[in-house]
Amino acid sequence: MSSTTKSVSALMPGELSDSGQRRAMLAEIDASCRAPVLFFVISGLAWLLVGTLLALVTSIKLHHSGFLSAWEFLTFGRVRPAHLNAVIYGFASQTGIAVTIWLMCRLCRVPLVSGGLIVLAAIFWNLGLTIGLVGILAGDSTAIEWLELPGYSTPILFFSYALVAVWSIITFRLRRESHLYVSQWYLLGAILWFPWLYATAQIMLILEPVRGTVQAAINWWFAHNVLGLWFTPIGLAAIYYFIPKVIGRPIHSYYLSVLGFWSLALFYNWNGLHHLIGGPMPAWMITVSVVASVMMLIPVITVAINHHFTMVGHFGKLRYSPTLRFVVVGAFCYTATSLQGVANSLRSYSEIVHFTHHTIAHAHLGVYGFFTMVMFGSLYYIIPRISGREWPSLGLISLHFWGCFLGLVLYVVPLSYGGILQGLAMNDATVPFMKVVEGTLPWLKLRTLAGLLMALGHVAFVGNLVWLLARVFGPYRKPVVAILSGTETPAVAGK
Amino acid sequence: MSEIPNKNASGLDGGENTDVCDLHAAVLRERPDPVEGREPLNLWMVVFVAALLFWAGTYLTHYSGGFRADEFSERQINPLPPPLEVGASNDDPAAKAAKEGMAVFLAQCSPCHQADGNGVSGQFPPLAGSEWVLAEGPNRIIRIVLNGLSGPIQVKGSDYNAVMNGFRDSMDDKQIANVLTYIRNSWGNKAGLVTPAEVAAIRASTKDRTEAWIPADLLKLPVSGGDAPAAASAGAGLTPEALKEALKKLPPDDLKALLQGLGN
Amino acid sequence: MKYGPLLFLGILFTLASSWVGLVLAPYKQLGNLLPNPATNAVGGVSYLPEARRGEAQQGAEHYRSLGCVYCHSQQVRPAGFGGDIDRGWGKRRSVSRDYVHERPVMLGTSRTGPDLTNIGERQSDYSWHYTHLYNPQITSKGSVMPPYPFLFEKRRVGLGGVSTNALKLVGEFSPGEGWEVVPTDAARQLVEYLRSLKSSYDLPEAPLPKTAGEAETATAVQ
Repeated sequence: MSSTTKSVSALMPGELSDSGQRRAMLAEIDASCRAPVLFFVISGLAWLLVGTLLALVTSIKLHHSGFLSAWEFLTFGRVRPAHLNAVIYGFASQTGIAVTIWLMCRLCRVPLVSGGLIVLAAIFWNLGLTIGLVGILAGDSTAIEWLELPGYSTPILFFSYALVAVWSIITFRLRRESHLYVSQWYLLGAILWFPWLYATAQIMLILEPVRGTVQAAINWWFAHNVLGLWFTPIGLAAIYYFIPKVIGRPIHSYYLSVLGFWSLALFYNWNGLHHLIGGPMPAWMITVSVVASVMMLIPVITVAINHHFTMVGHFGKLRYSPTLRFVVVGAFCYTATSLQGVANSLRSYSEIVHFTHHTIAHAHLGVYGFFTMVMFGSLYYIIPRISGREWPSLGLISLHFWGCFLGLVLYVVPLSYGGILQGLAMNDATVPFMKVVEGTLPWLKLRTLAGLLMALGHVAFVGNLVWLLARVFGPYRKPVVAILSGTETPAVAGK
Repeated sequence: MSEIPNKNASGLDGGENTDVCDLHAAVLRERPDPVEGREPLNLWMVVFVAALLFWAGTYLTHYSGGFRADEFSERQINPLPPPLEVGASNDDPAAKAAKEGMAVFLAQCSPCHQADGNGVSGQFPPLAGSEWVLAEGPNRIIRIVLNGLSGPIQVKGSDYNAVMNGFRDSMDDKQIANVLTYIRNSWGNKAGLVTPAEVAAIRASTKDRTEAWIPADLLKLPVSGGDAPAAASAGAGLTPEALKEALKKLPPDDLKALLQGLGN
Repeated sequence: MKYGPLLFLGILFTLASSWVGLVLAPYKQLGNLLPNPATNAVGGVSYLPEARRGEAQQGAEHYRSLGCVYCHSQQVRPAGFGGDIDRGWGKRRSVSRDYVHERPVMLGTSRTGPDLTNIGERQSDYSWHYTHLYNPQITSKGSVMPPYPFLFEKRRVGLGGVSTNALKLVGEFSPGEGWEVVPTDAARQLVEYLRSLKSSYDLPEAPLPKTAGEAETATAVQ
């Protein structure tokens, strides 16, 4: 058999003689990813809508306390953790896994194997999460932040995750590119760190709870590491892939990448107890976390320099590429939220903002401004390739971006400021507590408005995706390729 | 291409479009996969990392409380709470006591009596303009704060019948004295200050009482005198003549209790 | 970086470091804390903090299930750090030993409402708590705390007259002529729990502050 008739996927990357064959290999990888990745994406986005609805209800309840208050299953103390778990484990984790799978396949240059395993994992994940969320609304929440899903639902999630993790290791072992690109380090980290975190937390907090404040230490070691060792690496892996990919330039510095990854790996996981500053923990535990939080300046500034100097001179491309738009906003928010986080960890600043809405604004700048935006950008790139269809509506893309971006700004800026005012008033014992509460109301109302904007953006995105996937809206439409017009069209045979 | 197995013949578009360039438009316009540039590490980055490590070392050494399990203070924040008798610019003892009493009031009393002292109509009686608060002496109100109140009570012409819990165990004499001074001098109220000694005397004479006062019983007690301590320790400005007059007015039982208390 | 095994080891080692430092070490230092024995008012020995009694423990379950922790904290920060002690939320800061009986430990990270570590000392009146839970607007107008009407039962007044534990509701909150609102078991248990929240006792690592020239107030819990 001559090489021209051999299946492209059987060729090693070094054997690909020209760009055409390279592209064919990528197309084959994309096609193999179709069902598994789409399954995780669709379930993730369904949970996004559920989580957004729960978010709006929660937000309204904070300034109109009588809203939907007659029913026990809708009381604030249950709807709020339901929102958190729906967006964290429903939307963010599932979209994160989808992006991870696609990136792993692409970067390892290997078509997706055992797609059935992934689909099975997705089914179990959704099953476990649904059971868990109904449990929270029914009153079985564990009241342990970021771990509220009741103990009868979490083994299902863990089993599902185990399938994904095993698949990832297999794919990694099958890789046909010896050089490991920086995104692969981050993804491997995320995949290996998460089960350790989750297992420790489940065993030592739910199965066989430890005594007293050791629970608090483990709780916040776990919760902060979900942010730092699960979501952050996936988000950074995506940024490291998509920025250079879309603009066609290399990442600024390999050495900065190495420094960034290892300093993140070393310092981030010690941060957790900065959530307990002033709390009933021995001083050394808090001090150690404060130090680790400040040391986070190293990876954060390193990564910011790396991304910025890769982008510099190419910011004009933001106009044409939705992927770039969302990913760059996400990268900027990563730096912003990390700097805010370092500030929050200093004892004198924590004295003011701990226990206030400032913390909530910070959390949303991180999980929404950074991670969710990067995921949106990644999906804008991945979906056309795995589905073979283009995004039908540019208008909906714009609505999505501006709804989310303006919503984000309207959320984070007023609520951070309002939180500082709240903290200052709360620390002044001559201010009656009711006055402190009254002072927060305008910021909470603005937050609901921001949520409505975000909801609009989410609906626009899901609508666009449904339009793309469904054939009921009419015959095949020629793609609206205004995207990337204005940049030179790469020749098929060129690099 | 024909011998390459095409698993995806139908595709998501049901095979409607056979234009290869359309089908592969996305992958055709793609840039090559990303690679890492070899820009060397900036020296300032190394300096920055070194500086942070140095700071980390010093911070860890000074603020770890010896890594002990029972040391909760890292001694970076205010080392001691400000002393209670912070030198106030005004020497008026009533004003100083009222200021300290305000914090106690806001924490302990305002949940029911509200921050503006107007109470909640039908539920919790007001303190602003209340004849109980403005009475000449604090006998009754000290007792109320110590043991609470239960039963029908009339304040400013309105009837109330709620229960108030006592603060005997949760507030000390100074706090009770300060909060009562604050209440007696706020929201238009103008009445004398209450001293810790007065509170201590009543606390001692009612030390076996655990149940709340019934307002009707309190009304039988005089508003001043009774359990007021001797002039020398009160420091409330009672002249010896005034003290004699007050003692003469005492019901015999209360005089006996006072003498017994003094004897202890 | 080319070497998969090196990457794998590094990933393992970095998380292992904090697992040792923030999970294992706290477990070793605090995992076996016991209540502190102290002589109590009647000359016997109390173990402080005291374990929660009967209905108060069931009330803790309701506190967890209703998610009260998302608006209320249960930790007093040290004097001079934030206004916790100045506000009267506690006489001393909270320490690890205060939580040895808690499962789960609900320290809370949000003060949409006030801290509740010592609410049992500030507010021990049953009817205030019932009224506040039924509709916070009655006792605390302008509060953003939601009402919990499902913790109460609205029923017709029986032949024997209004029940002794019925809430005294007037005006717009009144259930109407011939109706009464009584607390359910859940409400009663929750209120017992709230009334049990007291921590103004001495501990070796956190003694109560003494003010000069004043008699010591009782430190043992009832």
